[in-house]
Amino acid sequence: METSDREIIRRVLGGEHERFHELVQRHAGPLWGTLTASLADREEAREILQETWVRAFEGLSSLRDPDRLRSWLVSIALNLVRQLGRRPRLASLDGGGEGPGGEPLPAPEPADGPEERETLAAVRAEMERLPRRQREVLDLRLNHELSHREIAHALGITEESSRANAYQALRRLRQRFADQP
Amino acid sequence: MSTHATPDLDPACRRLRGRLALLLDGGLSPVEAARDEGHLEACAGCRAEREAWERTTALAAEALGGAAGELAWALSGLDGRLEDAFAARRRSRLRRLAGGAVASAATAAAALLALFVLRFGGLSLDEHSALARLSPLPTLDLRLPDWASLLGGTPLGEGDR
Repeated sequence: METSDREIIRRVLGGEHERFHELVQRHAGPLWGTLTASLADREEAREILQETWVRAFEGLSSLRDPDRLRSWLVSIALNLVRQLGRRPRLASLDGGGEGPGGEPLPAPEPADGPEERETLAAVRAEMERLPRRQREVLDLRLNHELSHREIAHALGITEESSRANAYQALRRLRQRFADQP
Repeated sequence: MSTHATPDLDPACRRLRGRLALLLDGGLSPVEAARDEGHLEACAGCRAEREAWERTTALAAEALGGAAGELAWALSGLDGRLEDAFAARRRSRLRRLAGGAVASAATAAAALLALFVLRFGGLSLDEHSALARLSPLPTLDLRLPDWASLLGGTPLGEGDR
């Protein structure tokens, strides 16, 4: 059975620092998805991802409810994005950007077949056209599986607004893609 | 909140489709959800509509997870930064422990001093004399002389006292 976040956090705070890597392994993926959806510059997204984890370790004892680790991490990351001093540019969801030395970054995991890849590319393109808030909410809901209460807390909006944004985003995608296999 | 113009829909179907997104998002009360699930079991058209929403949600989730291929690159170097943070935490913990030990020693010393003062700082004259008898230092004789007998008078009688 997978050790719960709560248990890992308890052990890390008890001095087993190495176990913090388990939390990174578990939550870094969705966090990276959020950052790359918010920032066009992959190097900035990478720096913020790493800074988020360092700050999370340093502030772990201040996390009041360990069951809300994911939303706490998202809050740290989004605060860091805001601290960049400018509004995040919406990034391409296609990935394939460039690393710090100009080297090409790995492409996203390939979908099963060409038709599915095409559909996914079209969905990503449509999502890039969504208003920023709708896209943020959808990411936190589907990628991080946060509740609307947690999303509201992370983004500083109401639960109703979170629900409405998710609904609007999905409705737009549904109108466009529901008939895809 | 229906997504398509559905003028010829049954009112029950229209109501359900209006809140299908909410149902799938877990936003309905258990009673409302159970009622809608009952309708879905009986209505093929609404079931198809639900499947369309589910497909959309799955597609969106897959699209959002598309950046995962870069994750290894994004995390490279993090281990070193975390090791630094771990080491800093260990040092801080050691400092706290050392500080705690010094503070404990200081507290113990202060407590001993306080005990000493309490024990010997407020002694009565007799207690000081008793203590002095135990010590090698010379002691003061604090008894008053009988001035009357020294001056040739009679000592104070019982009645004069």
